[in-house]
Amino acid sequence: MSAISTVLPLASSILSFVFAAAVFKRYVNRSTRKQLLVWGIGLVFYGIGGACEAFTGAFGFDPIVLKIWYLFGAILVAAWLGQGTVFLLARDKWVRATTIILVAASVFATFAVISAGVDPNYAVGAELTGKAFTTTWVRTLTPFFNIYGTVTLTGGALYSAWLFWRKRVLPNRMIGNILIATGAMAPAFGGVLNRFGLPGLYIGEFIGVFLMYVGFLQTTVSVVQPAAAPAAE
Amino acid sequence: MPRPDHSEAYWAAMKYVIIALTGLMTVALILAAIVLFRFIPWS
Repeated sequence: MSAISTVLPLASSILSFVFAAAVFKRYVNRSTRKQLLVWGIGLVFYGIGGACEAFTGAFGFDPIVLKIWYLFGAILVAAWLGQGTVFLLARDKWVRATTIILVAASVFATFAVISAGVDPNYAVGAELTGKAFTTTWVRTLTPFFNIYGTVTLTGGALYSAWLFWRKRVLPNRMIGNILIATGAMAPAFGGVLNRFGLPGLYIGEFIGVFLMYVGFLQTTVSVVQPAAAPAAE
Repeated sequence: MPRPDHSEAYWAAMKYVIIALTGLMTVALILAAIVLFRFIPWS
């Protein structure tokens, strides 16, 4: 048991659930903003992933925990967070189409992970890894979800930041979106490094949720604005 | 709390921050695509 493999993912998990609670609270107050609901779901997935990592760090490898982690923490989280941004920025027909595809793909991924074989004797190191799956094709799903999540979450945040930059308005929201984009990329880089056998996923996840939370707080602060109205949250 | 009345130098710097992050995102997507192709049997 080490700080990297237990305390860090536990901190990520707690921060994710706190973040999710703040987002859900904002959704309850403004229920027309469905992006808040979807972001909240994504953050719960983030928290579940961190909890599984902390569990493994504290108590050792468990195939069921690996499957829960892989489904929520590796496959679904980025795509669902990104879908929240799609709800914010895209037109209704695109929102409907992508949501249907994402829900269907998530159901498929759920069944794929549940039915996948796991080597119970796989010696997981400091970080959880999908290499413990004996049904290797299930790992092929992850890049599809993560590429979609990166394009929508990071790309969406950078697009929003660019809109605020172009209009020279609400610098707090521009900075907030820059932080969200940076935070969204931190686990992606960590995950890719993990695939090449390098450590960094857990650190990337903690930095990621921390930056996204600070970014969220930045976008929600009240600023006296003398100029034009904003284009995106 | 950030103020809305920032200098031109601030806005100019932010432009390069956004461009740099967009570049970083592109790198992340390329790496993800490489990972994807490693898993596809025919690649």
